[in-house]
Amino acid sequence: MRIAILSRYPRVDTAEWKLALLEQLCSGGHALTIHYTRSALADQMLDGVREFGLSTLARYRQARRAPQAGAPTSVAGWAAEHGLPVHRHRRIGDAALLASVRAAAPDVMILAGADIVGAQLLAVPRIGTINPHYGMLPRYRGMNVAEWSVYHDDPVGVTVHLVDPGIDTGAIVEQAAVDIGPGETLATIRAKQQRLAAELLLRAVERFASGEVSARPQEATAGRQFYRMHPRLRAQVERKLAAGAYRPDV
Amino acid sequence: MPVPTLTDARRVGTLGALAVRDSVVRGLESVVVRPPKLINGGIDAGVRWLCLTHDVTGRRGSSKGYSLLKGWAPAFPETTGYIIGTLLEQARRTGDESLERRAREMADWEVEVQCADGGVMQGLLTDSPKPSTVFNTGMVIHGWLDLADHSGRDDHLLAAVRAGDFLRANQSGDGCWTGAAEYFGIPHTYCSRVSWALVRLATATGNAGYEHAARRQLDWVVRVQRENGWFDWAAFKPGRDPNTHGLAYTLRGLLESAALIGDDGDAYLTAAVRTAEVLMRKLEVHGGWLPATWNGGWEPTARYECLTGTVQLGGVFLRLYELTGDARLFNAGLKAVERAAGHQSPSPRPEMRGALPGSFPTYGRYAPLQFPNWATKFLVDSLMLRERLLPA
Repeated sequence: MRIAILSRYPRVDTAEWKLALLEQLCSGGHALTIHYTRSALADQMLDGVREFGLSTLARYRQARRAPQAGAPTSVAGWAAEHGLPVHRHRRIGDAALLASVRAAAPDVMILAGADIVGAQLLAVPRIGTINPHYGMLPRYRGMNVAEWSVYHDDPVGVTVHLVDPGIDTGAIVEQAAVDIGPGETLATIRAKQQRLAAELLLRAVERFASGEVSARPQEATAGRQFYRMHPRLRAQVERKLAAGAYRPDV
Repeated sequence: MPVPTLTDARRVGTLGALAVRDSVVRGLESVVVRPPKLINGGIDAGVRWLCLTHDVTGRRGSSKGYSLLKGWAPAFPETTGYIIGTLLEQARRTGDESLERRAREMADWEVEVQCADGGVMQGLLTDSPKPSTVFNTGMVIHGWLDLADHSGRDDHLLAAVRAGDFLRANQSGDGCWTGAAEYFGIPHTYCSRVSWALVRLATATGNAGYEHAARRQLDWVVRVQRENGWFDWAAFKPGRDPNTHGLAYTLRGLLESAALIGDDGDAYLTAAVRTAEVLMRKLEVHGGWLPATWNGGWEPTARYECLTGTVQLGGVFLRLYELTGDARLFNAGLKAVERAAGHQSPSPRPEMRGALPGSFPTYGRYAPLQFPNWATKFLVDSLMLRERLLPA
């Protein structure tokens, strides 16, 4: 299958799970094209500071650390090693981005940390666009859903869903919960979710490749939209995990 | 005690400095996410400033506020009424009996200035007589009942009953208040706060007629709410867009009435939640702040922030969290309260220290260049609520 990967700068999170996914897709014989937005350094800096404040630089430096000496630390680095071009664009709405994705004629587009995609771009892939959401849909839509799930003693997981014009409202393709043991923190949970996201995305692609494109629609009223968690509540969640008081109602 | 007052020249200097600072901060906010910086002891500082508003009138009501252009304003019966409850809450919190004395003085003063028809006058206390108005009357009933609840004495109940009778006598057939007894002769959804006072009065007197009157008005508020959570008649003046201050008043009246009425008040709670969810979403997508005014499609129609409304809405979100258990409202409430509290004045000058400006930037159109007493009252109320809900 032809697969387009859509992501964005700045790189403020580890690329490990993306690289694992790319490796698997590549070894599975799929043809990949890679598209990045927010390519201008000024945009990256401004958007990064807007989103993460002054910790952006520290996050960026952390994200550049390779797990093994000599290993690629970025999608771009991995693409260079495999002789694949990376198409860089300024904004998600740029006509040039639309043109480059259209030129790739993908069967599936995977959102790997991308901005909100417009209807024109969503219409390009033959089968559809899929996104890994770090929560159990339809109940937990929006942001910081792992934190909110722990807060409410609900299972934490990952849902791969088809992307529609709503926010996290598209039909569910794959879903699984992560096991959370003693001593977990939000950071370790995040790492587990990233690994699970790569697995579920791969599973979804393999299903599509085998001709099975069924997905479970979400009821619009079945879930709630969550927003960035206040630092005091986030600290409560961390304390809850540290105290072993998180007991998900399965 | 001599009352400190800035000279005109120093006021103008302060005004200029604040305007420049606010413009710079506002510009930076569009680029850098910065957590709000709360001053230490914000509740105590706010209450101290509210006490100063009492001192500057010779302890005859609370001054409407401090203006960087005009200095201290005369006493304002409406807001003096609901400041009584804030002082009593702080007295409970700290054991400071002097605050109870102040609250009683304010309540006594409200009886002195109560109009012959039982209502409370429009506007500021000046020499010229002014007609009674519904909203102000309801706000002073809250103060009298707060004192009765606190002290267990009913010294002010007779005044509250006269005020309640004024409200019932002026209610229109469809339940709202309009005409000569309301500002600009139009009905206002935010008179749900008046209805909340009437529900309380019904409990205090055992007279169900007050609750009946309240529910007629609350039913009217629910009827003028649109599917998208918008309220017709939420604006103070005809032809204007409502601001967050008036919207928060409306929601608080609905939710507190619902809490007191119980199951029969579910429709009021549902109405409050419907609009609160919209405003919560707006707060989150605007990066933690709310433009001051909105149109019927929930599009912002101002670029400044009504800090008074923001901090009131924070309190509304926190109260709705208490009533519904929806932690998203807790989350939004903390953000809104802290957002506004970040603008509490840290100035060493007593005229401003601990007070909240009406708007951000300070020269915004809501109470421009002023520190209205009700802004600080609602800041203190919301900070106390936050303190109660956040585990240490």
